Amino acid sequence: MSEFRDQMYRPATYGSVKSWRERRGRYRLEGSRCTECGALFFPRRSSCRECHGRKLAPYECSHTGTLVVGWQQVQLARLLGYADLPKRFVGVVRLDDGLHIETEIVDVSRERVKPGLRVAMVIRRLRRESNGNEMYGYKFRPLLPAAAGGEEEAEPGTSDGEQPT
Amino acid sequence: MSRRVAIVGVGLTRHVAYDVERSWKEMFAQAAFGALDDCGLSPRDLDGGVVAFHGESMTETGNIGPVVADAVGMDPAGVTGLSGACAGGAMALYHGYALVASGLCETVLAGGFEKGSDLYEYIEAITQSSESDYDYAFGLTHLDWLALMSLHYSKKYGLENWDSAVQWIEDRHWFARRHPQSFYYGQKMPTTQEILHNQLLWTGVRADGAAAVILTSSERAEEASREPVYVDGLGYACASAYLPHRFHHPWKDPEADFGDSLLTQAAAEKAFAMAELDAASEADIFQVSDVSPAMVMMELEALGLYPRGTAWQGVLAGSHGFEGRYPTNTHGGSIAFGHASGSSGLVSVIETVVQMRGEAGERQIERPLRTGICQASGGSNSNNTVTVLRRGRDE
Repeated sequence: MSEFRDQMYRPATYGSVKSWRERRGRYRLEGSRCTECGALFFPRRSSCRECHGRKLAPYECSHTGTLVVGWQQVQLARLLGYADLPKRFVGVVRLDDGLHIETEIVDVSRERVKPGLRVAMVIRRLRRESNGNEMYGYKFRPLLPAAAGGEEEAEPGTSDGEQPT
Repeated sequence: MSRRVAIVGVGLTRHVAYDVERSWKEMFAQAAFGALDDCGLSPRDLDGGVVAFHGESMTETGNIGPVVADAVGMDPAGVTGLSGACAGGAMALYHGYALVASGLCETVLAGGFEKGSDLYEYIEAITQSSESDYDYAFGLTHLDWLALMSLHYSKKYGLENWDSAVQWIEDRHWFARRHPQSFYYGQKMPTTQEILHNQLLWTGVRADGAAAVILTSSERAEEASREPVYVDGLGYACASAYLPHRFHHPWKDPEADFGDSLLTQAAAEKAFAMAELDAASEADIFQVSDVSPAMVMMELEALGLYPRGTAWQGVLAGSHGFEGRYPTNTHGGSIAFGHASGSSGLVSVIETVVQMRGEAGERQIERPLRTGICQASGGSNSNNTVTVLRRGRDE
């Protein structure tokens, strides 16, 4: 939405340490598991909301899940660094281990962004950090039905190509 | 709490798209002066203040307490700034109430404002009021929340169409045309077709605006120039700001998720008990957060006016319009009065006071209004308040 694409990605200019600190969550979907009661969490946290235990271990969430609800963003809602991209799809995904996350859905056509869509995690570019570094993080793309070759490949022909979606 | 607290003065700026002439300080001061003039008090009568703003990313000012104390001329009274997204104004009332009820202060200014038009990138600033490492950083915005909540609500409860939402929006525009300080005052009503095709009409209309009330003890209120309206019940509830956590809430209600407003339910329980109100249906006037029509349905249900998933029926039947059984958002709500994040939660309180006093002009609800319920939602429906107001001199 801004004409200053390269000069001003984020008005609140954090250093890249925030991205670095969250790297495991953003690149591997690493959350937390309570070593006392077994409760699972994403994003990561340092105390258990269920039993209030303070010993939590890293836990890598399922990389596959099912779309609970999704939509396509409207012009009004676009952020700096996303202005030149096609309207993005955003949804809430129930991961196969039962946790829920909010995520962008990529490599997908509008018709398929419906509750029940099976999706898998991929790493994609987000936008640039204040120091010019690109930020990366998880997004989700559709899985093919088992009949068409198993839960591995994205639907052919719907990719946004080289665009940093 | 030790003593009863009343609202004796209210002040409001017109909520407009661009208040370019004034700074946020001048704008807020106008609301504060309006509230003081309303009850014949001077800034020196104030011995405390709580003011809500969206956050320093919005104003380029962080520590707003001293700035407000100076702008209003109430120094050296202490003013506390708080950030509570769209519920901020109602949270200022909540904390201002505590100052007076506890006896720590005698007469307190509670207010809120937002001035998004000063910002080049409003969406960037407002989106930061979230679990920002995992939603803002990923380019996920508040409009995504509202859309996902609405779509999920409609699927979960089997809404076949959005007729009820259109009815809600039309009713709010009707009220806003009768409120001289509303965003749309003096403009022509949108047609049903315009509502159906303009997505901007389906969410709170971003506005620059400020609101303020004067709170004081019931003893002082009896001497005030205006009929006091008492704050008899308050509830405030918080949970994770990360929207999908609404599926993993502490209530262990397997049916509830972000298609339901659990925090309003929790806040209402507390506020109703405090006000000795058996049910929401006993109240005469209502205000709920309406940054999206589906959110309205969730909030009305969470207050207990309807079973889950059925509020659309009441909205569609006109129960929340001018002549309805439960007149709601009689100023036009965020959708049509205008939505200024720090102010909205208090604008609805002010509207209730104005209606109870019988000063609402063309939009005045004609039957007696003794009890009012004001609900406000903040963030991802993550910090919600419920306030019960009562008219009538202390017995």
